[in-house]
Amino acid sequence: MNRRIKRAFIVAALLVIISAAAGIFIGAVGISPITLLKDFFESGLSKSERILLYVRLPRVLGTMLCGAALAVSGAVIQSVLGNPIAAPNIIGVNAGAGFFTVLCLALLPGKLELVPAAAFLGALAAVLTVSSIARKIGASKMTLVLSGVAVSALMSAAQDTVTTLFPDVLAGFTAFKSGSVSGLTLAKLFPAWIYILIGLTIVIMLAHDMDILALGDKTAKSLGLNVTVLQLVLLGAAAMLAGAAVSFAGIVGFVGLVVPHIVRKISGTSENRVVIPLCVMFGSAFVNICDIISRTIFSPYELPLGICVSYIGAPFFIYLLIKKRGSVHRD
Amino acid sequence: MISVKNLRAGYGGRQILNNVTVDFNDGEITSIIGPNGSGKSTLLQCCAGLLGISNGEILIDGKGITEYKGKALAQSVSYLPQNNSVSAITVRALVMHGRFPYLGYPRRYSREDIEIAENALETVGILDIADKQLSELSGGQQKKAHIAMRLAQNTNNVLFDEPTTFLDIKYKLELMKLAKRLSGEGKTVVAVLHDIELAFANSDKIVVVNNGEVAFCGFPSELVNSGVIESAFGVEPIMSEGKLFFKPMN
Repeated sequence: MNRRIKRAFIVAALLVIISAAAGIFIGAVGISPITLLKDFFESGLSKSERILLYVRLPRVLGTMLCGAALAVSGAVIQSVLGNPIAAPNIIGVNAGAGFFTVLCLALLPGKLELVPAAAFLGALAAVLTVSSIARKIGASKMTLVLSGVAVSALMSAAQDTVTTLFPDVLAGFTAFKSGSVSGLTLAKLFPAWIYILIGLTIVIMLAHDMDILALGDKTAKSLGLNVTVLQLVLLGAAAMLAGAAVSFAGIVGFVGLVVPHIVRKISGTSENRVVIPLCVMFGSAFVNICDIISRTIFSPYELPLGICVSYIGAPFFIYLLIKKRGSVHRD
Repeated sequence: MISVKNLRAGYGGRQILNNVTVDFNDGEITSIIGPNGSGKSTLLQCCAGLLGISNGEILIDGKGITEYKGKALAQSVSYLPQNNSVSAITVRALVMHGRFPYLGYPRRYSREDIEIAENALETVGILDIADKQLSELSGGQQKKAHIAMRLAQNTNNVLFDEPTTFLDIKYKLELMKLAKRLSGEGKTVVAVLHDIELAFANSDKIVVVNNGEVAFCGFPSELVNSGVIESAFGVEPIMSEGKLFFKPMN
C-alpha cells in the first residue's frame, strides 16, 4: 500500500470519527461529553442520554449507513457499467427504490419490515431496465445517462401517482422525496442495515473481480471471468445497497456520484480493494456532515438532508460533465 | 496449437465466417490480414472463446474449445483486443491481473504469480515504469503494458488483435520482435494486422481472410504471386529487393 493510499485511509478514519462525534454532540440541544459521562453513572435515563439514544444515535447511524450504502452502490454501478457519470440517482435506481417504497407503504400499511425488500426490488428493476436499454442500443456513456433520466422520470411519476392516490402513505416518512433522516428510529433502521451489510459483504468479496471487469468485457472474458453473472450479482448488490438507504432516508441524490470520484482522486487508484472501503468511510462521513449542516445552518429550522447533499453534489456533477465532455462526445 | 475446422460464426444474428478451416502452429507467427469487415477479428475472437460457434469446431492444443471451462481456457489462450481500457492503476497492478486465471478465492497472489508478472514486465521492457500510473504513459507504453499482462497469463497460444494500430514504427518493430521471441519459445502467436508490409516481413505464415472465407494460407513469399492481394485488397503487389510495395490497379 503506497503512502497516498495510507494517507487517504487516515483522513477517512479521522473524518468518520470526528463527524460521528460532531453528529452526536451538535444539535438544537447541545450535549456535553462530560455531562454524558456523569449521567452514565447515575441511575435512570437523563435528558442527555435520552437525546443520545433516541435522537442522535439513530440519526448518526442512519446517515452513516445511508452514505456508505449509496457511495458503494455508486462505485459498483460506475464500475459495472464502465461509466464514470453513472450513479444510483442518475440512472433511476433511487427513484425506482422510492416508487416501490411508497407502493409498499400504500398497499401493505404497517409492514415496515418489508420496506427495504420493496425498495431493493424497485432499485433492481430500475438498474436492470437501464442496463438492458443501454446494451440494446449501444451503451454509450450519454445513452446510458439519458436512459437513466427517462427511467428516473417514469419511476418518479409512478411514485407521485401513488402518493396522490394514497395521501396518508408518507405520514411516517417526512420529506421522503427530499431525503431526510429526521425522526429516524433504531426500529426503522433495523431491517435496512442487514441489507446494507449483505450488499457490502458481496461487493467487498468481489472487489478484485470488479477490477478485472473494469478492463472491459472482452479482456475480462478472456481472463476467464463470467462477466454476465458477475455483472448481475454486482448490480443486484448495488440495488440492495441503494434500496436499503432509500427505504429509511428517502431520495438522497449525488452521494453515489460524488464520493467514488473523490475517493479515486484522493487515493490515486481505481483498485476496488482500496476504493470500496474508502467509499464506506468517506460516504458515511460525507452524509453525516451534510446532515449536521442541514440541521444546524437554519436552526431551529431543519433542511431535509437530500437538499443539502444536492447543493454539494449537483455542482460537482456539472463539473464532472464539463471535465468529461470530450470522452462523452467521443463515445 | 489452434486448429479451426469448417467454422461458421458471427454475431447479432449475422453470419460473418463461412466454412473457415485453418491451423495456427506452435512456434510460428501467423498474421491474419484482410480488408475491413472481412472477418479477421471475428476469427480471432472465436479462437479466444469470446464468440459462439454456429458450426464446425476449434481445437486448442488438441482439445475442443467448448470443453474448456472459463479459467482453463484462459490458461491456454491469451487475447489482446483492439481497444484496451486505461484504468487508474499502475502498470504492475495491470500486469498482475494477467494471473487472474490462476487465482482461487480469496484472490491472493502467490510468490510464483509475482515472479511471472515481473518476468513479463522485463520481457516487454517496461520494468522501469512498472510503478507508474497507466494513464501517465504514451499509447505505445500502454500497449506494451497490456501485452505484458497477456504474457503474465503464461499461455501456449497468444492472440493479438491489431496490436500495432496507432503505434509509432519503433513500437511496431519492438512488438514484432517480441512476437518472434514468443514463437521462438514454441508458443503459437496469431496477430490480426492491418499493415500488410509488417505482416509480410515478420510472419512465418500469412492467412488472408476475405468475405468471411480463407482466401490464402501459406508462406509470405507465396502470397505475392498468388493473385489474392489483387482480389482481396484491389492493389497490385510488387517485390523489390526483398521488400513489398503496392500500386493501385488500373
